[in-house]
Amino acid sequence: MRELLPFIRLFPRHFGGLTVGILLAFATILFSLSLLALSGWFITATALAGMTLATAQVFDFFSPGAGVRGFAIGRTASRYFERLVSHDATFKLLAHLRSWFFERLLPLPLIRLKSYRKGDLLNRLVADVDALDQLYLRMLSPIVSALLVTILLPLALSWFSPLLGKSVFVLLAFWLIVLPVLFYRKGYAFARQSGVMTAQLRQRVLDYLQAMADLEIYGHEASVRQSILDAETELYENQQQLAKLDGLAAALLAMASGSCSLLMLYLAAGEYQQGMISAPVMVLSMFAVLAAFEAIMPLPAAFQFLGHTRLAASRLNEVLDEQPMSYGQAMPELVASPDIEFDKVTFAYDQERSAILNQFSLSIPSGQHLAVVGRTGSGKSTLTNLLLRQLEPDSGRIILEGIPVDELTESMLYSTIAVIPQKTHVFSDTVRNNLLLSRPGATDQQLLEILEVAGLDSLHEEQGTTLLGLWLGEAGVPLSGGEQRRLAAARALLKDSPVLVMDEASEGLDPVSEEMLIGKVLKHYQDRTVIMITHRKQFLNQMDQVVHLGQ
Amino acid sequence: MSQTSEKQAYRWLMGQTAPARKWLIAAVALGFATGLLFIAQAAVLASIIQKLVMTKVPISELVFSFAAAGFLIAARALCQWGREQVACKAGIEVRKIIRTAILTRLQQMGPVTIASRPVGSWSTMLVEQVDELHDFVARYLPQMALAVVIPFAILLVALPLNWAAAVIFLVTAPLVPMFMAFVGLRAASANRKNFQALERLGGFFLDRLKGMETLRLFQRGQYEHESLKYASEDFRIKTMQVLKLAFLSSTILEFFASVSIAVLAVYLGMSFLGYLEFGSYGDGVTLFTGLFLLLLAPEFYQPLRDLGTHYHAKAKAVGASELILDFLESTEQAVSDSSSSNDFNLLNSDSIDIIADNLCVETVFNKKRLLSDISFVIRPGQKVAIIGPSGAGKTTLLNTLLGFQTYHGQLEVGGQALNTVRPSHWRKKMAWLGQQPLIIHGSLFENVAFGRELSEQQVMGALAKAEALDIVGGLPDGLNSMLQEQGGNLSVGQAQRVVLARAIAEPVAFLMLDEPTASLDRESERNVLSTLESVSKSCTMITVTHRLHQISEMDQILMLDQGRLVAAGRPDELAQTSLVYQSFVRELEGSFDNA
Repeated sequence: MRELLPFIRLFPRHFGGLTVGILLAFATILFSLSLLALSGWFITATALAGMTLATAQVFDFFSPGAGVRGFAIGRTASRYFERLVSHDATFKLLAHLRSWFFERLLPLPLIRLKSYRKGDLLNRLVADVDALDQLYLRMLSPIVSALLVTILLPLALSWFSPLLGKSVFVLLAFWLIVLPVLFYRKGYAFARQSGVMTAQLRQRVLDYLQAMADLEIYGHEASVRQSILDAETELYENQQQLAKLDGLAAALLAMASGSCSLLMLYLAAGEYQQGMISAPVMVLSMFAVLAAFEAIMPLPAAFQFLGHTRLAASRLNEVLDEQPMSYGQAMPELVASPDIEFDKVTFAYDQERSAILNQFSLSIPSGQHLAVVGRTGSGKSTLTNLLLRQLEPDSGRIILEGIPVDELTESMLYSTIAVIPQKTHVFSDTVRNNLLLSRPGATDQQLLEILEVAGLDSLHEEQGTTLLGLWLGEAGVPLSGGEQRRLAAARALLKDSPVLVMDEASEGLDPVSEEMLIGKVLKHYQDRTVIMITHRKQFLNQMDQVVHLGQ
Repeated sequence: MSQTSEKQAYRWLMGQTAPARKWLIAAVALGFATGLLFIAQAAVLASIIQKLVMTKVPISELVFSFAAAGFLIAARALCQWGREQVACKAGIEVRKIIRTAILTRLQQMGPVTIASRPVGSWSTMLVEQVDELHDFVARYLPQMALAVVIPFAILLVALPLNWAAAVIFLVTAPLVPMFMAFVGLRAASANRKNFQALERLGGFFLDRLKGMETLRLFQRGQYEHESLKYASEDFRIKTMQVLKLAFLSSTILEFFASVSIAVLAVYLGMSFLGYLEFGSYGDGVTLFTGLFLLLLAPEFYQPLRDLGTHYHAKAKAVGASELILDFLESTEQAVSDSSSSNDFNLLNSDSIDIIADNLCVETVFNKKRLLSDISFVIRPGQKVAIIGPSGAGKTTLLNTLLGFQTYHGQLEVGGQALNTVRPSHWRKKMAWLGQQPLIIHGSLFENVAFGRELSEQQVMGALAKAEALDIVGGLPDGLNSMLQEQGGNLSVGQAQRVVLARAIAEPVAFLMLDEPTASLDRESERNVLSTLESVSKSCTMITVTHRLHQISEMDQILMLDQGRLVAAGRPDELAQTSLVYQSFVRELEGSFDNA
C-alpha cells in the first residue's frame, strides 16, 4: 500500500471539501436508513394503536409523520449536495494531481522525456493519474461511510436492547472485514493479469499493423492475425473470471443484506416475545439493518478498484522516482556571441556498440557559422544533443564561453541557445501562444512580422479568426511538415539567443523554399554563433567552417 | 471530423448486439427473477411480522417461514451471480464480433491506408475503444429492460392489495417510460458535458506533457505549469455550473423515491388510525399489507437508479461506436478483395513482364491524384530505379506494383491485369525491403521464417547471405533468441539485415526495394547493397533510391515528379537527353548522402 502514500499526501490540502463530501455521503445513508426504520416503526405502531378506538385517538402521529417527511427531504438534499461537493473536490484534486505530476516530471533528463513521447506511454500515464483522483470518490468516501454506520447503528439499537446492538455490530463488522479482504486480494490479482494481457493484445495489434506489408508479402498475415485472436481470447477468459468475482460480490451482498435482516428479525422477535422490546422497535431494527447495507454495498467495488489504483500508483512512482537532471550554478554575464568548444568528447549510445564520437574536439569561435555534414548515423545530431545536454558525454567536456555546459544553470544554458529541432512540437493552442513561448513579452506586431519572415502568413485562410488567434495542434488546424519547420524557425527568430542550433531535416520543404527560409534565419543570426546540421552542399559557401563527421 | 451522428452510432451499436441476444435475454430473465424473488422475500417477512405481532404466534412455530425466507434469499443471490456471468458473455460476444470486423477491414484496406494514420490510433480503436462497448452491452442494456419490467411487476402486485399505494407509485413515477426518457436525456447530457470537459482537460494535460521537451528548451516549464493550473480551475468552474443543473434533474428521481416512502408511511399510518378509509377495497389495511408495501417501495425505484449509474457506459460506448462506425463505413476502397480474383499462372514465373499503360492512382477520400497517366514496360531481369523528389509518388508506384493500391488504367503482370490476380499469388513471387526494418515480437528464427515453413538450415543460409551471421552469434540463444518489438535489442543496421534475410530466404522473381539503406550507416549500407546485388542477378529488381551510384547501374530509370512520369530510359541516355534528369542528378550530387 506504500505506493499510494505520495498521492495520499496530496489529500490534506483538500481536507475541507473532501470531509464535507464524506459527511454528506454519510448523511445521505443515515437519512435513508432513518426513513425506512422510522416508517417501519410508524406503520407497526399505528397498526397496533388502530386496534382500539381509544388508543387510536390518543396516538401522536404528528411527530413521526414529520420525521418521515423530514428524512425524505433530508435524504434528497444531502444526496444532491454530496454530489456537488464531492465532484468539486474531485476536480480540485485532479487539477492538483496533474500539476504536481507535471512539476515532478519537468526536471527529468530530456532524453527520458523524449523517450516517453514514443508509443502511448504518456497516454497511459495520464490515465493512471486520472485513476488516482478517483481514490477519494470511489474508495475513501464509501469506506468512511461504512465504518461510521457500523459504529453508530449498533450504538443506537443498544438503546432499545443491548443484545440487538451487539448482534448488529458483529454482523456489520463481519462483512466490513470479509468483503475488503476478499475483494482486495482477488481484485489486485485480476487487475495485474488483465493489465499484462491487454498489453500483450496491444503489442500484437501493433506488430500486425506495422508489419502488414511484410505479413501480406510473405503470407504470414493469417497466422499473426490468429495470434491477435488468441491474445483476445485469453483476455476474455480473464474477464469471464473477473465476472465470477463480480457475481460473487453481487451474490454475497444479496446474501448478506437478506440474511442479516432475517437474523435480526429472528433475534428481535425473541426479544419482543420476552417483552424486552415493543413490536414497532422489532420492525424498526429489521428495516434499519436492511437499509444499513446500502453503506456496505460499494465496498467490493471499492476494494477491487484499490488494486487497480495501486498498480497505477506504482507505474507513476516508477517515473517519479527517476533521478532529476542536475544543472550547475554558474550564471555568467551573457555574451552577445559566445564561443563553443568540444574537448575530447566521447559518446556511445550503448556500451556494446562502438562510440559514435571518439575523442572528438572542435572549437567554434564567437560569431562563427559552422556547418556539420555527414551521412545518416555519423553523429551530427548527437553533437548538438550533447551541447543541449539532451545527452551526456561518456568523457570529455563541452565548453560554452569558458564554462562547461554542465556547470551552467538550466535557464542560463537554454536562454543562451535557440534550437530549430528536426521535429517540432505544435501545442494545441493559438498561433500566438505557440510563438510567445519563445519570447513571452512580444507584441502582436512583432509576432506578425516574424510570421511573415517565416512564411507562415499564408496560414490565414480561415475566416472569422485572426492569424494569431488561429488554433493549432490536435484540436485545431494541423500543420504540414514544412509549416512545422517554419513555425520552429519563427520561434528561433523570436528567441534571439546568442547561439542558434539548427538540425535540418531532409523532409518537409522543397529545396527552393528551404534555401530561402534558412537564408533568412542565417541572416538574422549573422553576427552570432550558429551550428547548422545540413544535407545540402549549397549552404556551405555561406558558412565559416565545415565539419565532416564519420570520415 | 466525425461523419457519423450519435443516433446512427447508437442504432448501429444496437444492431451489433443481435448475436448476443440469447445472453442478453438470459441476463434480463435472471435480473427479473431476482426482482420477483425479492417480492416473495418481502411477502414472507411481512407475514412473519403480521403473525408475530397481530396473532401472537410464538416464534418457534415460525421456523418454516424463516427457512422459506432464507431459501428465497439464497435463490436471489444465485440469480445475481448468474446474471453477472451471462451479462459478461454478452459483452464479450459483441466485442469479439466488432473487433474481428475492424481487423478484417484493416486487412482489406492494406498497409497504405494503415500508414496514413499513426499506428497508435488504430491500436486504440482495436483495444480500448472496442472494450468501452462492454459495459454498455453487459450492464446498460439489461438494466434498461429491467427498469421497465420490475416496477411493472411491483405495480401488478400492489394493485390488488391496495389501490391507493399503487396510485402513490404511479403518481410519483409518472409513467415509467416517460420518467426514463426524462431522466435519461438530462442525465445523459449532463454526463456528456462532464466527460467532454474532462476529456478536453485531459487532452490539454497530455499535449503539455508531449511538448515538455520543447517547454524545457524554451524555459517555459514553470509558466505552463501555472497555465495548467489555470486551465484546470477554469474547467472546474465551468463544469460545476453545468453540473449544478444536471444533478438537479437526476435528484428528482431520488426525491420521488424518498417521498413515495414518506407518503406511503403516512397514508398507511392514517389508515390504521382510522383517519383515512380508502384504497383497500373496503377491507381495511392489514399490517402485512403495510409492511409488504413499505419493503417494496425502495425496490420500485432501484432499477431506475441503477440505470442512471450506467449512463457513463452508454455515453462512452456511443462515443466509441461513432469512431468505429466512421471507420468501418469509410469509403476507402478495399485493395485485397479476393472474391473475384484469378489464380496467377505459375508456369511462366521466370519471365513476367510488367506493363503499365495510363496508370492512375488517386486517394479515395478526396480524389487527390497521386499518380497520373504513367506508362512503362519492365522486362524480366531488368534493374529499374524509381527516382524523383520527395512527394513525387515513388512509394505509391511501388505500393501499386505490390498490389496495395487501387488504380485506374492498365497494369498487367505476365499478361493479366494486376487487380484480377489473387494478391497472395502475385506476392508469392516477390521480396520486399522498406526503409524501416520491421521486427515483430518473436524469435530471430520466427522473424526470418515469418510464417513460412523453412528449415533451420534455410534460415541460417538466408542469414549468411544477408551477412547477418554475426547477429546470431551475438544473441544469447542464437536463432531462438527473442527479438524485442521494433528491434529494441538490435541496431537499425542489424534489424535491416534480419529483414533482408527474411526477404531473400526463398527465391523470388521480383525484388521490390523502397530506399532500403536510407536509415543505415555506411558500413551497414555496404553489407545490404552487396547482398542485394548478388540476389538481383537472378530476378527483376525495382528500387526507389536516392543513391547516385545505384542509379547509374540501372537498366531503366523511371523518374517521377508530382505524380507524373517526367523521364524514362537508360541512365546514360537520360544523362544526355533529359534536362529534368540532369538537374535532379545535380541536386543529388549536392547532398551529403551521396558523398
